Amino acid sequence: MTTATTKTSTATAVTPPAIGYCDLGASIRFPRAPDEESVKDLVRAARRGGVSTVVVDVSGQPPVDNARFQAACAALQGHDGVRVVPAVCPVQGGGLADVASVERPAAWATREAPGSSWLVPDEVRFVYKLPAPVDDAVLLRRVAETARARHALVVAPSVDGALAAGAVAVEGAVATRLGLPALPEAAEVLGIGRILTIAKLTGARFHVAGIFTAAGAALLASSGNDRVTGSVFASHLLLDETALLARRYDTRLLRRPPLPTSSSRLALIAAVKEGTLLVSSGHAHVPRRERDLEPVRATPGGTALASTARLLRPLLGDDVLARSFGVLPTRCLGDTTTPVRPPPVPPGLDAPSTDDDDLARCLQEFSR
Amino acid sequence: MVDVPASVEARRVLDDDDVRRVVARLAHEIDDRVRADARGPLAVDAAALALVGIRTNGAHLALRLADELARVRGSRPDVGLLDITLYRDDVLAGGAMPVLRGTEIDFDVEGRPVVLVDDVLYTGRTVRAALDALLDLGRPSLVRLAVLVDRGLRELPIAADFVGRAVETARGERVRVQLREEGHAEDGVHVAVGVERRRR
Amino acid sequence: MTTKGVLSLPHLMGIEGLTRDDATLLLDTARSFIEVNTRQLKKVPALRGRLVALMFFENSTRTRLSFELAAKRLSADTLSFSSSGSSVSKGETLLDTAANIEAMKPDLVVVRHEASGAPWMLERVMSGAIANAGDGNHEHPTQALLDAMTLLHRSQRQPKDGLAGKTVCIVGDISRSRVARSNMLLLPLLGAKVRVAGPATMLPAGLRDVYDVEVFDDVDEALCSGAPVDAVMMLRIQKERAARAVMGSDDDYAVGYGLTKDRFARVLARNDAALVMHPGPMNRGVEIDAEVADSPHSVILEQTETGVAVRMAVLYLLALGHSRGVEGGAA
Repeated sequence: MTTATTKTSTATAVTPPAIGYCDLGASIRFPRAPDEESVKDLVRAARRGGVSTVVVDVSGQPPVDNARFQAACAALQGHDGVRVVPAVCPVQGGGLADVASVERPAAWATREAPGSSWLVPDEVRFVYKLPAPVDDAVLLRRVAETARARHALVVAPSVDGALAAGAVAVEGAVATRLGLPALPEAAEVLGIGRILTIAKLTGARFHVAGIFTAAGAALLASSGNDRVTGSVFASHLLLDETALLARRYDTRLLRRPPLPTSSSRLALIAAVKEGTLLVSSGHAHVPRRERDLEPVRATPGGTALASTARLLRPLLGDDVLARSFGVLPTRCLGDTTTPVRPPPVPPGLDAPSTDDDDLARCLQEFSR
Repeated sequence: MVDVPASVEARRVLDDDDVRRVVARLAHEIDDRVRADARGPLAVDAAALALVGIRTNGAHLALRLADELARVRGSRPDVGLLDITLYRDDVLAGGAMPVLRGTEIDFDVEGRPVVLVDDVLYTGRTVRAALDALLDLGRPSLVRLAVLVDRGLRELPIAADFVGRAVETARGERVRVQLREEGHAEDGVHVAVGVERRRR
Repeated sequence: MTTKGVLSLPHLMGIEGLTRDDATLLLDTARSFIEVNTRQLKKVPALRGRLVALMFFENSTRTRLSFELAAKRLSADTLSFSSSGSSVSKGETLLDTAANIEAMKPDLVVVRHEASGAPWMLERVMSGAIANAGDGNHEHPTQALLDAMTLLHRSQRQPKDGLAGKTVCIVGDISRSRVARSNMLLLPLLGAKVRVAGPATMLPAGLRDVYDVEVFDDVDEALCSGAPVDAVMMLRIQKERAARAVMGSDDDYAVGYGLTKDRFARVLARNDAALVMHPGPMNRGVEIDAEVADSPHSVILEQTETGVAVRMAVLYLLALGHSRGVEGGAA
């Protein structure tokens, strides 16, 4: 990577790569169990995948005082040429979290840590991430108003939480045949509709992560609000629900939201090519003990950060990939100063690295 | 394992006519023996005689014997059909795929003299299984064994009471019994060179 | 290609994947075992020395007893594991349990689990042949086989004749019913016409795409239009969750979708030999009227008796295939 040379100087002088792939959709557990991924593992995976900027949040039940997480992220700023944006969870229980107390370390991690002064202060100072859908419009409005006041980008799931609860598939022939709990595609129309309405009401910036239906993508594209963007996870561009039939009850195929129908998948690919939808990894490491369970009990998710770009390249081509997984996500973070050019292809991007990458391994097994 | 085509070196042991005569003779022997048993110390109830044929060919032969006995004695004995698949000691041990046809014995065997009927007596294992299957259905007063062909080479202490034809055979040979009931043009028993199917 | 006398598949994961020949073989074999079950000594030595593991992760006394009796009548040894999900919360996972049972090398594994797909999980770690005794909302193949057996018996047909010309109406929560899913595959495979009826929210999306069935959200239309119905199969309503989720009360459900006396009288008016089936246990007064359940048209107890023979057939044929190395796929 061309920017890697700057890393050799002292820590204070580290300048993260000006451009590279930018991922808005990775999460991690913190504090972590020994068999779970560390922030350092994540940074290494980003480096291998040519990702130079990664927004990362604490999945599951985020502690309000996640200062230790922010510090861990700060410690790895610029490490391996990767800049880490620790997201803030703005909700706790059924209400607004004490965001001020977590923003301080987040600000330190993103702006004041050595070599990380890259978020544009007036545009986006923080990234808020909702680890689960917020169905309560009152709470969502409060989150949005807070985000607006504090210059935060809100990354939110696309679905209505109540309709999506417990679902591991999309309602339709596949889910019916396999007897899996499923959500209607309308769950996403409801979820995105709520976000668009609140965004318009408050003027907050939103990024809807993990769009998985054609209707959801169309709704977002027609909104006309350029402060609301959306992205689709790599797995949802590469696999559709028929994979569940091909590999019966393989819990590595469980994703949140579930894998799209084949027609939705094609519409999502088209939306990415048109530039109305961004791409993110959807990276969420699931340890074996939570993976080797019955399909309705297993935790959805999977690692994909290291192989997102490599797997999507044949599907999207270099230019589309550079835009949807590089330039546009960088813009979402308010970084308008970055010159617009396709990110360089990092070395070894074509080499398979499947040992710690569920998505790559799944696809490799599929192609056999 | 490939069977040598039967037509190459098959020798005929019984032809159509032989089978008919042998079945008639067996019926007479059975009748004589049952009468003797009735008069003797066993004091069996000769009128209660029942035939139980082992599926598939034994069942056909039992029905033929019953017809003959009807002529000889004036009354046709009850006939039951016994499926011994579930009693075979090799049912889960590979070899020919067993086909379950079901047991059809719609009378009570309890206290009655029963003649077990099969086509070929070989190792004795089928008869062993048939005895187990029969005794699970009740307690006959006695059980005798009638076979069309006894080819020797016993592996168990079992002997037939009524033998249609005793034939000397080798391990590698197969005894093929063809009966009209199975769609053959005429009855016949052949001994063919070929790898035996270990069933009997 | 089906080898005569053996199933084309190594496991009974569901009705899905069975050929017509497989179904006929299973039902024919079950008939042989009905004869065994009428004997004084109801036991055959076919599976002597074989080990059948009964893994019941969900409370189901009836199905477990039925399988256990089936195994014993085939002279198999049985190993019974029951838990109602509580040991899972103690930290032991399905695969941990499977590994423990696998160490005892069972030849056959019967599994009941509240999660769809659990038998597939076991297949990856166990070497025995697997019989699905009900997984989540997915399939319950032995129940469907015994339903088919009962229908054949009542119409005095042989398995090879199938159920052509018969119309069966399945009523209730299709979405959460493994019995419905297995029957929606097996009955059409045997040539029967199947209608399903229930409240729209209990009819899963894509039913017509997956199954060869007619779908109704009006139970009276399903029962009393078109060809007369030969059998009505009422599904159990999970009182705790489903009825309330869809209807205000049990009474609402009974009025809207239950097999009331009036409703069944209208069915009988079109076919006086119509049968009533129910996989049990019944909620009398909710999905089925008590008098209807106890009427001579009801085959509910008969279904329980046939169940043992069907499960004997399943265990026997799986053991037969297992001992002969029947491989999966459409070989």
